[in-house]
Amino acid sequence: MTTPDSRTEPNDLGVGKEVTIARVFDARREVVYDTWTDERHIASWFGPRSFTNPVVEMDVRPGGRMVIYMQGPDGSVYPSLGAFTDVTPPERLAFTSVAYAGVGGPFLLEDHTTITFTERGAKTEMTLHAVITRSTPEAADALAGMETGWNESFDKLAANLATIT
Amino acid sequence: MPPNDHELDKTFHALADPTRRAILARLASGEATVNELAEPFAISLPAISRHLKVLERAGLITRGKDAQFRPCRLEPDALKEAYDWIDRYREMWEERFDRLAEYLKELQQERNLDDNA
Repeated sequence: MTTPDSRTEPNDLGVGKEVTIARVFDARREVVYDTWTDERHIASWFGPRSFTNPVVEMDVRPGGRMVIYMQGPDGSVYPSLGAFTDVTPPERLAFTSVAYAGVGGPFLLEDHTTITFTERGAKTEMTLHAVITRSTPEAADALAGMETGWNESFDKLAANLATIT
Repeated sequence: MPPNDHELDKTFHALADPTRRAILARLASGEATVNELAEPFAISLPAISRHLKVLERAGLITRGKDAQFRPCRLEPDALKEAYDWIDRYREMWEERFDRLAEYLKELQQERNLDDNA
């Protein structure tokens, strides 16, 4: 039994190498679960807003591989290679994942993620618990870079809108 | 200057222990001596000293020069580096959640259109 409301901070100071996020989505549990396991769905939402996912391969079974290439608005690619460690539809998914800066690029971080799906009437609470198992400071820069890419594309959008109106 | 890999790992290692986190929480309200820090814990002074050494090596605390008391002081910058790092990671997931919520809304709308057709 999960207790999704207990947003357990790893410690009093709010610093730890793990993150827990819970949110209620306005969709049935099977639908939310599918957004994680269907390659077409993952390609539509994974990664920062301005990113696309040109490569998504999901072999959704314990030990099965998971490959996601995220691509930023500037063309840079962030590959993520993983493996499923727990597949319990439609309740739970867990996987390890290793992220790299570019194809054949340097290692950024390795994490283990557990996603729990809990029915809340017709809605679904999704809880993510991610533990970073290995990391580099460059990972923070890369994450910040993704954010910058996102802001830049928003600026572009704002500029385009300005010319239209 | 950004911390190197090694430093950041040391910081996270130091933060991984509940006693050390409790020590840091205590130091957040001001300097303290080893004896003062040991008071709330049911562990020996040497054990506390070992925890303090780990915190000191991670740059999370510094200790005064006074040979007898050597008061401990929190160094918030090292803590902030670790916090910023994990915060960016959290933001990455929060943004994915945002995007997933929008995507699910689109899916539901498509489904409603299909149902009404």
